[in-house]
Amino acid sequence: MIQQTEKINALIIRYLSNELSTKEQEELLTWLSQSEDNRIFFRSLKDAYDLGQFETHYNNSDVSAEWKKMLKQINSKVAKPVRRIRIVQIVLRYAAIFILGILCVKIADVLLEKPSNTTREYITQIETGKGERSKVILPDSSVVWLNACSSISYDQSFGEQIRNIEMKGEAFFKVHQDISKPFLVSVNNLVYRVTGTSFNIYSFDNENFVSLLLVEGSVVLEYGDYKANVQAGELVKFDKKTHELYWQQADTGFYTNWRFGELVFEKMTFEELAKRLERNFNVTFVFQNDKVKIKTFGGTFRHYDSLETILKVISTSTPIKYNIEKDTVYIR
Amino acid sequence: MIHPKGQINRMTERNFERVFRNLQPRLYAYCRKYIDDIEQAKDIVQECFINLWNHQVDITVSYDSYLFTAVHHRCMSHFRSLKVHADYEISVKQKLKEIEIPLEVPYPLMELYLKDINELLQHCIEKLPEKCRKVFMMSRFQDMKNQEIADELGVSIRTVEAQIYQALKILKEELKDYLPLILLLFLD
Repeated sequence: MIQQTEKINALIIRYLSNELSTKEQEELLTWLSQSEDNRIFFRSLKDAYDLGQFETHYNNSDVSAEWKKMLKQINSKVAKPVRRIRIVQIVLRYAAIFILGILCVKIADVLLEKPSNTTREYITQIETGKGERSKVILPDSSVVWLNACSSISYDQSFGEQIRNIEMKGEAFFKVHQDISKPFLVSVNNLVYRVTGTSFNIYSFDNENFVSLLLVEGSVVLEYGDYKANVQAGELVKFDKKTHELYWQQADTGFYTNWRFGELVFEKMTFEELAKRLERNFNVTFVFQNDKVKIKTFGGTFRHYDSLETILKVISTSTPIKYNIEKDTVYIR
Repeated sequence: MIHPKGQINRMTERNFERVFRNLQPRLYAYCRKYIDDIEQAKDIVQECFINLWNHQVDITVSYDSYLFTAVHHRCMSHFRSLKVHADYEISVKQKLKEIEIPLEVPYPLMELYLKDINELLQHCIEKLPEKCRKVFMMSRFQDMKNQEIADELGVSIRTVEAQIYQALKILKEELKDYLPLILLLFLD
């Protein structure tokens, strides 16, 4: 009896790895057709086995391409072209008025140019280096937390009619409410228009995405002519290459607790994770094995955990080997 | 954003996109459990979403359970629609494939597919004994054949099979809230 069970177990395992001969398949089939219990047992092993492939399939689902296909399908039934043309005409009309306006101002500028009083613009810039974090209070009493390797800058017109800020890296904003002076954050070609709100922006030059996480209040995201309202709890990612936007619900603590010294990694590839560790610990990662770059990992650490502790934890749950020499981490 | 009147109860395109981007990869992964053909699997998922979009007003259950049930039934009917193959070898394979799919949607499993499986799985894999984990990772994550694993580790293929079985057995115990229950009886 025990021998019988062992034989069946081996058959199932080999079936799952796709290594059965036809004769053995037939044997398995006979066993399976004997009872529903047998079939349930077989399926449960397969279910557990399939979980290991979940990630591969999940990542290969081509969700963006599939969504484009889907859009074509659902829009082909609703004929919109007439409306679109109208919108384009309206936009053009406004654009024309706008350009005319700018031209007038420019001409007036040239005609009325005063030789004196051409004060150069003063730009204020605040920057953090590797391993540094900083909290900045702006002239309008808005508060900005800057993560490592990040910067914000604004010029002297800040707070006159609008509050305009440029930024790089990662920052958390708590904007002081003042509806008469909109608060604009520019990142790449994106503009986030804000009144009184708190939110997190993540935008490093060496990464593919710019992302915004809104914690409370409201933000209007502007990209060229495109405008969209972002609601609290939403994470909006902008792909710098394809210029596509991705919306998802997110746990706000996850993305903003870095302010309190937590290092949070939400299911990311080891390559992305290495970039974050580089910024936080002032080290350089060298990959001697490209395969591990795409392994994924998730977890939370405290800021005072040493790099070594973090790497140790990571290497127990993933097949990653490392050694640290001075400021360089070699990944094998 | 303004929408044509009469569509107040309908999802906006953006909401639909959000549902799509969240669920499509999960449904695709579920579908691939049973369907080997990549394009076929994508088409099945796509059709289910189109049905959701077209009939959303009539749908009373949650979108995820609607979609999972729909994908599950489509996988089943896919195998039923295949003609009994004249080639004996292929027909045995087909029959086995058909048995893989349970008649009912496996609800606990579906819940698992909606969660962060990776996190759960990683948590469980940590609990595997060293050797067992190594073999399981090589087989599942590095996609190696049992023979290749045996060669690399210098053990017999039987040992590899036994280790994989051991790993599955532990995983089943760890994930028992999500997998069909009765089977635990078989385990010892």
